[in-house]
Amino acid sequence: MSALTIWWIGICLESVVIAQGIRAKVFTKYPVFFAYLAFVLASEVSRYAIYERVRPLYRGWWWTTEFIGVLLGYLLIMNVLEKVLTAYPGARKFARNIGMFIFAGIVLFTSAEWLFQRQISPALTSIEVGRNLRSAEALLLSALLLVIAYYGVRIGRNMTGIIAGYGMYIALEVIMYACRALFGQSFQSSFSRVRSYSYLVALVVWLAALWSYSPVVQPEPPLQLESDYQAFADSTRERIDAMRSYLGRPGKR
Amino acid sequence: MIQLVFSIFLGAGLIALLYLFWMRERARPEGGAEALLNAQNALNKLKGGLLPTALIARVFAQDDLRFVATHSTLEVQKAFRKERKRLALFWIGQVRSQIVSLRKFHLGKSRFYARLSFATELRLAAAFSLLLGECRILQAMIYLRGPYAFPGFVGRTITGAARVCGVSERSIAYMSLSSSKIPGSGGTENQAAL
Repeated sequence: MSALTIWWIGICLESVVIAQGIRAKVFTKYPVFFAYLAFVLASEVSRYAIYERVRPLYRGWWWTTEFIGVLLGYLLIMNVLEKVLTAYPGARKFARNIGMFIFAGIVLFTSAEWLFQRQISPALTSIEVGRNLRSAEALLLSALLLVIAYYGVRIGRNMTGIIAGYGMYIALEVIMYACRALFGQSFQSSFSRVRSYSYLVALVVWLAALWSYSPVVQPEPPLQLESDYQAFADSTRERIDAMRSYLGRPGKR
Repeated sequence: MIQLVFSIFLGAGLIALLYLFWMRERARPEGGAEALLNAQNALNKLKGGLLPTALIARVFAQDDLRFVATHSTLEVQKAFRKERKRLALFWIGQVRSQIVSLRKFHLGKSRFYARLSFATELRLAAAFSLLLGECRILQAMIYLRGPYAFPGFVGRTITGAARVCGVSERSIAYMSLSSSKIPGSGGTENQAAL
């Protein structure tokens, strides 16, 4: 299958997902996701038009839309975090803190790299920037998945589809960007092909998951819980210590 | 090359996480009663308690082993050791199940607190993981070397058992009281609604 055919299939699938989202009124429930998808569709169409008519501008336009797409991807993950954990303020706070830790870690890592090299490395090509941005996204998404699993939060079919499709696409992007940065231009055709196919798979997942709105039965917000978190946590801690001493090791007090 | 390995590890890790996540979502029962059942089951398990201290002491006591060793054949001794090992493993399994129940109960409730402390949650997560790891190690040690390989172990266990009983009574009373405040965790309002 030629690259152009895959491109067109992608554009058609994106249009179908958006059209079905509007028809089934799913887009009103997940506006950020549909905005992201609409941006990707617009950028795909504009890339095609520029590629056909003003080819010298194509490279610059590709990277501009790619960069904005990555930023929107971050926004999408943060929106998923807020939406999925709305009914669980504790788990949401935990996830936000982890996100901040990851963000701080990335800033520290980049600053340290810059300080040690005394200047921005000339080897830091656009491919490497793309790889680093996608890696940070993958880390953030992994952390979010761990928090959801750790606190046993239910997220429903729609959100599972959004996360699964986007997560799979990001995971393959991270691997392919790394391979592209290492092997250079010789890997370009495989890089483009795998990217396109993985995005097609993501679109199919989104189409299936977002065909209709599937509400999640959320627990009601609890009452009168705010003041006694520390007492509750202390009680758990005390019992953990007791369990440890029961196992034959005195607990640390 | 290091960055390539890191990226492959990160990408593969995310795919594995997504797979587990997908399977978990598919396996979970539908309906809002899930939270109620989980919280109630966890609390019931915690209330069920552990094996009595005297019984644990007896399982690990060397007196019985010595008595059997002097008054019976090798086959009986072998069967006796096997039975004690089975009991010891059952006990560790029971402790492990209690820890898992406690973690489920804690997480089931703490996720609702807007004032949740990130540091406290991290410390508790580490404590739970450490304790579960210890259980696994102990299980492996008993499985490989039998219950009589650790003579000092019984004494410490008996000392600790007295403490766990007192703490259990207090914490279960507190948890029972606080669980009644959570909608969908077995409180009277919910039971009435059901």
